[in-house]
Amino acid sequence: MHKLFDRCVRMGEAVAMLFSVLYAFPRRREHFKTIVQHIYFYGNKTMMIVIVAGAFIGMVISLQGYTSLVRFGAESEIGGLTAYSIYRELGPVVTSLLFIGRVGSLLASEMSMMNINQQFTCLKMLAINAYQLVLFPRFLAIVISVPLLTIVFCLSAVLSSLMVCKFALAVSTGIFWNSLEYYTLFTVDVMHGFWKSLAFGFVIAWVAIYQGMSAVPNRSGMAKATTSTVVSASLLILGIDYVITALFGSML
Amino acid sequence: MKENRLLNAGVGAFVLLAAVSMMFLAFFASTPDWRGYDGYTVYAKFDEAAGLRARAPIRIAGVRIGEVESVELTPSYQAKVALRIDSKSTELPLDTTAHIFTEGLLGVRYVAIFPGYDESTLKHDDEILQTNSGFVLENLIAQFLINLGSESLNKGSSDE
Repeated sequence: MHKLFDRCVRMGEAVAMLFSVLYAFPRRREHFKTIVQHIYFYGNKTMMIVIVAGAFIGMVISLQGYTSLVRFGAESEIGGLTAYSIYRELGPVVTSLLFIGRVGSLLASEMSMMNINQQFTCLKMLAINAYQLVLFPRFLAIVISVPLLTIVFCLSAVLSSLMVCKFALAVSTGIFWNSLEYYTLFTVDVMHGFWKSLAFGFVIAWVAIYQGMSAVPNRSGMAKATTSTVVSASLLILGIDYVITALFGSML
Repeated sequence: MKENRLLNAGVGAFVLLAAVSMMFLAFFASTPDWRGYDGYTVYAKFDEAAGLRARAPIRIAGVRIGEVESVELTPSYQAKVALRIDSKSTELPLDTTAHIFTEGLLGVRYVAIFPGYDESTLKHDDEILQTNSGFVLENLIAQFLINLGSESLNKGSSDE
């Protein structure tokens, strides 16, 4: 009972924090500068791992899909199969999971480190709004970065799948593009993945910032915050992914 | 200052890459359904449209000219199929006939259109009046087996 109450308190804290972060919309030039800086630290630095992961996932899906499709004599549909699964599910989910590993843990440990070093107290003494200068730019940078990375992931996966089909599987480029264009609609499938990744970015930023801010200000608290960010953000992403697909899967 | 410019360039390149990727996905790697079709829609009623789904191709002489938009039931229990023709320049005469064909024996259903000879053409929301439903393979097999059975029965009785 006591534990349940504790849970509710933490949840309420998280919601309150989300509102105060969103309320701290930047007003000064430095704040916008920080946003760009953090898109660089989060988005650009994650781009390489996302591109490489996308390439390998696209390749392995077309290889694996080919071996099962060829049994039904439907190997000409390989492009559609690959693109459909990547645009709708794998693109947003895998990008988000990679992003959690790369940035979520970094952000949580950074936040709790700032807490340990009492940098937030320091900012308060200087009458600087920490939410405006520190939290909101990071939040927005993540919300912007994740969809962009998802698009890059999708492109990388489709192109690498094309390469595999052309050079390893003897499926010609024309057949690949034909089935790919036939099975995926832009406003339905590509945008479905896009909206999903936007929601995921929001969740990642929220979880990481909350865990980092609410950590016990010592070394073990910091380690705990990092771990629980990765765990709970990953589980939340997978759960929300199912909910979004179940609710909007057919129309979006 | 120089550091900052480099950072901005990095972010710019990242956003640009994402934008270009989005363009690529929009124009090449998916059906650009956000671009309004300049085509038109005609309707056809079939007695039997088993296996015909939305997005099935419409063909004239084997060439794809559009796709099935929807398959719905009419009050008179027929299947009303909306046929979206991709381009306005594909003009169909009034006495056009529509058939449901199958790719191969067990393949995907599609709508085959045989243009007629009438001078006037079908407009948007018009209906193709002459239709020919697809065959249902199970019915054909059943009929074949029944015929076979009755034949052998006849044979048996004539031998006696």
